[in-house]
Amino acid sequence: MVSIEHVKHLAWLSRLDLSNEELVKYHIEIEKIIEYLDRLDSITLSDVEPRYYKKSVSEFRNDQVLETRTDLSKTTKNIKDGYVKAPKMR
Amino acid sequence: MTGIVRIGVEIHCQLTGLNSKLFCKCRGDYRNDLPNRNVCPICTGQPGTMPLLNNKAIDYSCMIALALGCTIPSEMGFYRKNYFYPDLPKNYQITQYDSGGIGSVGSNGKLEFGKEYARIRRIQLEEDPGRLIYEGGDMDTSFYTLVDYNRAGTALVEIVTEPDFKDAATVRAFLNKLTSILEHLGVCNTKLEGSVRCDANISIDNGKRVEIKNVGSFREVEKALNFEIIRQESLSSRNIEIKSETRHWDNERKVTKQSRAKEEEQDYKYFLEPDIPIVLLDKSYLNSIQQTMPELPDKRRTRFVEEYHLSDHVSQVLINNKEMADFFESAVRIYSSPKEIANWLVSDLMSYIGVSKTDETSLTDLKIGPRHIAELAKLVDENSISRHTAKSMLNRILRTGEMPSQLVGQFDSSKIIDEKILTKAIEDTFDSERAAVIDASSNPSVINFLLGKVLKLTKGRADPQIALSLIMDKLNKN
Amino acid sequence: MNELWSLSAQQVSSRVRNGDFTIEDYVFQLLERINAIDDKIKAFITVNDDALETARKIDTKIKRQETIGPLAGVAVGVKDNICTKNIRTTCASKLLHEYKPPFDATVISRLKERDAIIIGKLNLDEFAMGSTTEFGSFGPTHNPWDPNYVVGGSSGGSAASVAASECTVSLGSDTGGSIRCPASFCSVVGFKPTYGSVSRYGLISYSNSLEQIGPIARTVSDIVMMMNAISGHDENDNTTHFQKMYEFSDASDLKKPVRFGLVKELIEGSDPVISRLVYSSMDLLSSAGFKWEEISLNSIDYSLASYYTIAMAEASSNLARYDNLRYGFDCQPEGYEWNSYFSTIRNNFGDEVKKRIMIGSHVLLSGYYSKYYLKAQKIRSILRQEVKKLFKYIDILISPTMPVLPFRLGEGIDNPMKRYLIDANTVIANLIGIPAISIPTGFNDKLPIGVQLMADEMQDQLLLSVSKIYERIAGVRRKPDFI
Repeated sequence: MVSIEHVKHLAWLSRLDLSNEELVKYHIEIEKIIEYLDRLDSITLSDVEPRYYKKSVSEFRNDQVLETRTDLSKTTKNIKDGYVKAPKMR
Repeated sequence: MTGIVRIGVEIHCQLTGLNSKLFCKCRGDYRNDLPNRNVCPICTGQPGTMPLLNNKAIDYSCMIALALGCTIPSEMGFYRKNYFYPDLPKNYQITQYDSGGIGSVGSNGKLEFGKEYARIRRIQLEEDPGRLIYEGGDMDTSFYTLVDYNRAGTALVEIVTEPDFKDAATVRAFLNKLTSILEHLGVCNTKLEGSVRCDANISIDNGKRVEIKNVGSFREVEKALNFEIIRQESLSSRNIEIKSETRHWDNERKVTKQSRAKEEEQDYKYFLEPDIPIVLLDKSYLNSIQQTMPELPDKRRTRFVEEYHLSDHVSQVLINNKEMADFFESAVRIYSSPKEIANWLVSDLMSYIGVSKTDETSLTDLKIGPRHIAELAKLVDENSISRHTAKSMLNRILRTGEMPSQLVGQFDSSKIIDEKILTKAIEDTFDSERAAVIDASSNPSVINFLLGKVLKLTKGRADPQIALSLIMDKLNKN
Repeated sequence: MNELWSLSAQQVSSRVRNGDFTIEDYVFQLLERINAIDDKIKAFITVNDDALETARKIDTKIKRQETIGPLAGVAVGVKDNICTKNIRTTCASKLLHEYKPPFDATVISRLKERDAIIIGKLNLDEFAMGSTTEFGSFGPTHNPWDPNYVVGGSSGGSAASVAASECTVSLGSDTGGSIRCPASFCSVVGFKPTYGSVSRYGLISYSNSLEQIGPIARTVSDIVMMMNAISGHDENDNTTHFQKMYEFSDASDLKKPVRFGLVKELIEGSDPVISRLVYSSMDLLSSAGFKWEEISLNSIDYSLASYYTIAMAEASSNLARYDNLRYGFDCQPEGYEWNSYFSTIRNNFGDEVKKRIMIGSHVLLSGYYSKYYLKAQKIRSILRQEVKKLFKYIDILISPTMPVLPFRLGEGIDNPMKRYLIDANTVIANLIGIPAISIPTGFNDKLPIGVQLMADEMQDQLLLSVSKIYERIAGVRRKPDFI
C-alpha cells in the first residue's frame, strides 16, 4: 500500500508542484507500479554481490587544464552581470 | 559548574594543489575570476555530460588518508548525494559514502597532536558547489540570488572526527596540526580564503547535539565553540533544555544563531555514481603514494632535532608553520648555523609577523627571505656586528629588504658606550664649540646642540644617554 | 537521378565517390521527401538547416580529389536526446525546447569527422521514457506501415525515418529496448552494442548504467558501417573501452559452427503469431545447417522489476538538474521562493516522466534502498551469471524482439503497467550489458515483426556476422506501401 501522503512526499522530494487532480491520478498508477516492483521482495539474495565496473587510478584523467569558458548566456536568459540569476532563498 | 564537553569537527579542505577541478578540466584556481568564466559543460551540469575523475585528486586524498593514519580500502567508490539547492549544478553532489562494502578513501584514523589525539571517523573526496550571492547582501531580504559556478566542481576532501575534543583550545591545537600536515603534503594552501572550512558538533553532559556551521576560518572555530559552550552552560544552569539543532556562526556579531526552522529530515537517496567506475587502490599503487609522499611534520621535527640539534620545542614551533620550517632549511643551506638561524626565526621573525595570525600572514609577503637571515647569522657568528646591532638591522631590513652586508657600514658596530672614547669626543667638541659651552650655563637647550655635535663626530654611534650624562658632568665641572 | 533516398549507406558512400551523383542532389531529395511525407509520420523534431551546405562542402572535396571520410555524404538522423552543437536538442521535453547544447556528443563529432551529414533531430518519448514514442512534447510519431499504429520507442523517430527513407541511417539510444523495439515495429535493423562500446558523452542521460547509443539502418551492413564510425574508447566517457574495427564479412568470425539458443520463456510470453514466425525462422536456420535448441532463463521473472527499479532510480537523479537556472526556457526567477520556482518549472515534465521520477525517488529512500535498488542490482548479477553459463555452449540467444505486434496509438495508455511489460524481452541485454540486435523477420498482415539476437558481452563482431547470415536466410526486406 502506498498512501497518497507518501506520493505527496515523493512529489516534494522531486520538486514537482502537483495539482490535486494529478496527485490522485498518479497515486493510482504509482501504487500499481510499486506493487509490481515489490516482487523483488520475494527472493532473498543475501550472498549475491552487485557487479561493478572497476578501473585503476592511472586509467582516470590526468590533472591537466583545458579552458572551455562555456558562455552560459547562450543557454539561459537569466543572466545578470555575468551571474546566473536564481530565485530568492527564503 | 562545567559539564563534560564533547566536540567533533568536520573539515572541508580544498585540494588547491591541483591544476584542474575534480571532474572536469577547468582550472582548480577559481579565485580572481569574473563570474562564470571558469566553467565548462561538465561543471555547469549541462545535459549529456559525465564526470571525468582527476587521478591526481585520488593521489592527494590517499596522501591525506595515510597522513591521518586511516585505513584505505582496496576499492573506493563515488556516490550521488541527492538534494536540491541552487548552488548545485546537477542538484546532486558527487561525494563518497559507505554502502555495500564500497566505501570512501579513508576511515578509522587517528591524529596525535602534542600529548592529545583525535580519532578520524572518515575521509572523503567530493566536489565543491557553486557560490550564492544574495543581492543586497542578505539571504532574508534579497529578492533574488546570483550564482557563480566558478568554484563548482573543485576538489574537496572532507575530514570527519569522532567527538573526541573536550574544549575549544584542543580543537584549535588539532586544527593547527592538521594545517601543518596539509601544507607539508602540498595538497592545500590553507592561507587562501575559503580553502579550509570547519563545521563542529558539540554536546555537554551527553546532552543533545548542536551543529555549528558556516565557520569561515580555523581561527574563528575556537571563538564559535567557546561562545557555544558558554551559551549551552548558561541554558543548563537555568534548567532550559538544549535542543538538537543547527546553528550558524555569525562572523560579524561573533555569536551562533539558530538556523531557520529545520525543513523535514533530509533523505539524500545515496547511490553509486554510475558514470565513475569503482577505483582500484591496490597495494602497489598505495606503496608508490607512500614512497613519493612529502615528509610529514612529525618526522620532520625528529629530523630537525637529530640533524640540526635543535631543541624539541624549537623544532616543533618551526614545523607548526610549514613556511617557517622551509624558510629555516633554506637559510641553513645558505649558511649552516642552525641554532643561530632557528633563534632568529623563533624569537624575532615570528614575533614580527605575529604567530597568532599565521592563518593570514604569509612569510612570502615579507620583504626578506632566507638569504637575509643567513647573512645576519653569519655576521653575528663572525663578530662583525653585535647581536644588538643585528636586531636593529633586522627591524630595518624587514621594512626595506636590504641585504645585511650592505648595511654593515651604517650599523658598523654597537653604540659607543666606552666613557673614555666618549669623553675624548666630548672634549674635542667642547674645544671647537667654546661659545656654545659658555651659553650652555644660561641656556639649557644649547646642551642638545652639543649632544648633536658629539653624535655627529661619532657618526651617530655615541650612546646618547651616556654621552648626555657625560656632557652634563663636564658642564658642571666647568 | 531519381530515388537517391532509397539507397543504403554503403551505396551512397561508394557511388558519390564514383561521381554517380552529388551529395547535394541526394541530400536535396531527402529534404524534399521529409517535406512531403513527414507530416504523416512526424519523425523529425528539427531538420538541420546546414545539411545542404555541408553536402556542398563534401562535394567540393570530392571534386578536388581531397581525402574524404568513410561515411562521406551519408545522411544520418539523430535521436533528439543526443547533443548537437548549436542545433536544438529537446529530448521532446518542454524543459529543453529552446536548448542548444554548447558541444557535440562524441558520436556526432565522429560522424562529422567522417564526413557524414546530420540531416535532423528525431522524435522520441520525453527523455526516452517510453516504448511507443507517444509521450513527447511534440506529439506521437506514426508508423510508416500504418499511421494509426505506434512506431515503438523510445527511438521511434529514428526507426520511422529510416523505414520511410527520410534518412539513410540513424542513431538511437537503447536503455531497455529503445532501439530494438521501434526497429522491430518499423521493420528495420536496430543494434544495441555491448555496454561501453560507444561513448555516451553527449547522450542526455536517462539511466546511465543501462543505456547505449546504437545505429538503426535498413541493412546489417549499414549497421557495421555506422559502428565503425561511432564506437571505441572516448576520454570523455570513463565507461568506454577500446574496440577493433568491425568486419563486414559474414564468415570471418565463424571459424566454428554457430549454436543458437531459443529462449523458451520469451517465446512462451509472446503473441502466438509472433512465436510461430520465430519457429519458422528456426526451421530456415536448420535447413541452412545451423543447430539450435531451446534454453531456459530462470531469472527472467525478476528482470523487468529490476530494470524499472534501476532505470527510474537513476532517472530521478539525472533529471534533478532541470531547474531552469543554467539552461531552459524563459521564466524569470525573480520574486519566487526557490523551492516553489523549482517545483513550478519542473511541473512542465510530462506525466510519464513525473511518475518515473517519483517512483525513482521512492526506491532510493534510505528505508527502501536495500528492498528495491540494491536487490535490483543483485538480480543483475544473478541474471548475468546465468546468461554467462549459457554462453559457454550457446553463441547466440534468439527471441522475438517484442512479445506483441505494433498496436494502435493510444491503446492501453491508461494501463501503464501493461505497457511496461512489453519490454520484457529487450531489458535483459541492458541489465547485463551484452550486445543485441533486432532484425526484420516477417509481417502479420501489414504489421512488422522483428527477431532479437543476443551474444555474449564483447562479442559484437560475432553477433553482427551472424546477423548478416540471419538477414540473408530468415530476414525480410520490404518498403512501406504508401512509399
